[in-house]
Amino acid sequence: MASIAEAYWSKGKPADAVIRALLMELLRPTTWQEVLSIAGSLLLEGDWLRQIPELARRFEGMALWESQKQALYLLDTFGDSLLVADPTGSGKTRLGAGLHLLLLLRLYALGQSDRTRTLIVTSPQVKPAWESEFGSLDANQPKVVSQGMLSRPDSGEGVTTADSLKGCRILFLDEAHNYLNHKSNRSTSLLGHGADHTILFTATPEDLRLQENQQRFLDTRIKAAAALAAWNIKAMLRSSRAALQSGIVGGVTGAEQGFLNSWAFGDMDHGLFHGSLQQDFEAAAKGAAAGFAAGFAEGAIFGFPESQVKAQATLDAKRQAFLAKFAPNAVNDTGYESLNAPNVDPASGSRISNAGGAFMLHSNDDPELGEMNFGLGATGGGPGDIGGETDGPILGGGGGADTIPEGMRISTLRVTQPGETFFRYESADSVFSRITATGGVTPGTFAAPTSDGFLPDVMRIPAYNLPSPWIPRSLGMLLEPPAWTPIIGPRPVMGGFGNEVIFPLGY
Amino acid sequence: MINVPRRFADELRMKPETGMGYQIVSVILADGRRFDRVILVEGRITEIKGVLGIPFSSGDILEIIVTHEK
Repeated sequence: MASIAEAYWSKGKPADAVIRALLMELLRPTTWQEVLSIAGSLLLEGDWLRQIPELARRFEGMALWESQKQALYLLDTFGDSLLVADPTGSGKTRLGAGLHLLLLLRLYALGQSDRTRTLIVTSPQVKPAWESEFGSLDANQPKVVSQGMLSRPDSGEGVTTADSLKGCRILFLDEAHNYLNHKSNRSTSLLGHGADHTILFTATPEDLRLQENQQRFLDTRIKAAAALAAWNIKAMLRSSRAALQSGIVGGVTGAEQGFLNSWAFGDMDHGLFHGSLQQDFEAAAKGAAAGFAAGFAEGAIFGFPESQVKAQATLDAKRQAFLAKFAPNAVNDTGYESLNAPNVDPASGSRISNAGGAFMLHSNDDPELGEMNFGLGATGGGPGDIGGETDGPILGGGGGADTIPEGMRISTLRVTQPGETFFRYESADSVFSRITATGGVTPGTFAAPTSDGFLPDVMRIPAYNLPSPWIPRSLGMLLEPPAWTPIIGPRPVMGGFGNEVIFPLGY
Repeated sequence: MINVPRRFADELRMKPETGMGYQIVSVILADGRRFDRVILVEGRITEIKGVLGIPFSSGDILEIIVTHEK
């Protein structure tokens, strides 16, 4: 056998050039229309729904549009909270009713019927529409309150609303753009909510003041489509996981840059859906699709561009220097947690301000820094940060996430940071272990962030709500994925007290 | 609790988990019967939601479909 193998090896020839040419052929730059049409067909005509029979059954008999089904799918797949930003008349209220039903079904299935208390906060004008839509469902009826009650805590109904916020486990927040001002009574009153799931709705996510400040526009609908398209391209490149991972990083980064956008919602930017005016949509789509195609090809074939990494490092160094200048006590090993603001340079007018954990730089000295918002939360920063405009997560954003209360965040697809490690607990059956021969994990593998600590055997099952508790998960392993490995989370484990991550593509 | 035939190992390892160390699957038997919401812990069928015990044996299994159906 050894001699046969040696014989084959001796006759072998290097095929690097051939494989590279093949990849170049497969991943050649294409038109944005073609990329969009592929992404659209994957969403609209793909068999993703049929692959989830439980979800398909739930939708039977429900008159939902395709976009509404997609939103439900994304909520069920990517996280427990969602921003729905579709135009007026696009069916957001109907979508909300569907989301409510989905969440109720999920919670009942999990035996968590005590976590279904729902509160809807909306404007007085559309309050009857919400009540009517939800009333048509054969499900527990949520409480619907006017948003005006949030800013009047001293009134009798205001106290009731505050109590309702604290006691609700599912919160629907309509007209979410009304809460962009974090210091308003209306916004601060929300911080006391106790919801596990928060669904935000808006038809007008753009904020004129933000636009004036050159805040950029985010169209996460295309972003989600691009990400899904990338995942489907995975099948074409199954033999080259490294190329795929690098391609996704490059592609999504390219898409983000192509969008010429970042956080239209500032630190509330964590949405999956955004509907916009037609011209904005087309412009964003064109830039995103072209950027995605070019970025994916570049990343998949050549690896993540070193020039971009260097550019990011340079920008990060500038940020550090800027912070050190204006807030010397704020820079520490763990980030900028202790920053007290504002700090203003009287000579140039440059300043840095702290918006409750998301920092705003206003540099009059360095045009590259200019004015930007950023945060260094657990999911912020990283390779997705190229250009200094997007903070970390690939799907949905999340820069400055420090200000977002737990429960208002969704799980985001991001990439791992250098040195980021995790624990994985198994029952020591090597045949079915998800640990690969090279020390990686197979696609769709769960793990725990090392910030949870290395738990003793008896704590692992309750922490991660594992079934069949009589089977000990006695094998604990440290996972050390390469930087930029696609990952979802950390997010709290439903029914447990730990946190979990998912490696959707493995590594 | 029964062990899943080893021939399913590679396929199951490449399918996403439902949570750390387990998958929720549907099991189709050679005689056409189907069991949903089957909990599979690293190659072991440990329980079936709504069913007392596990009313089939390892050799009866024709197909395993990962559904995550809780």
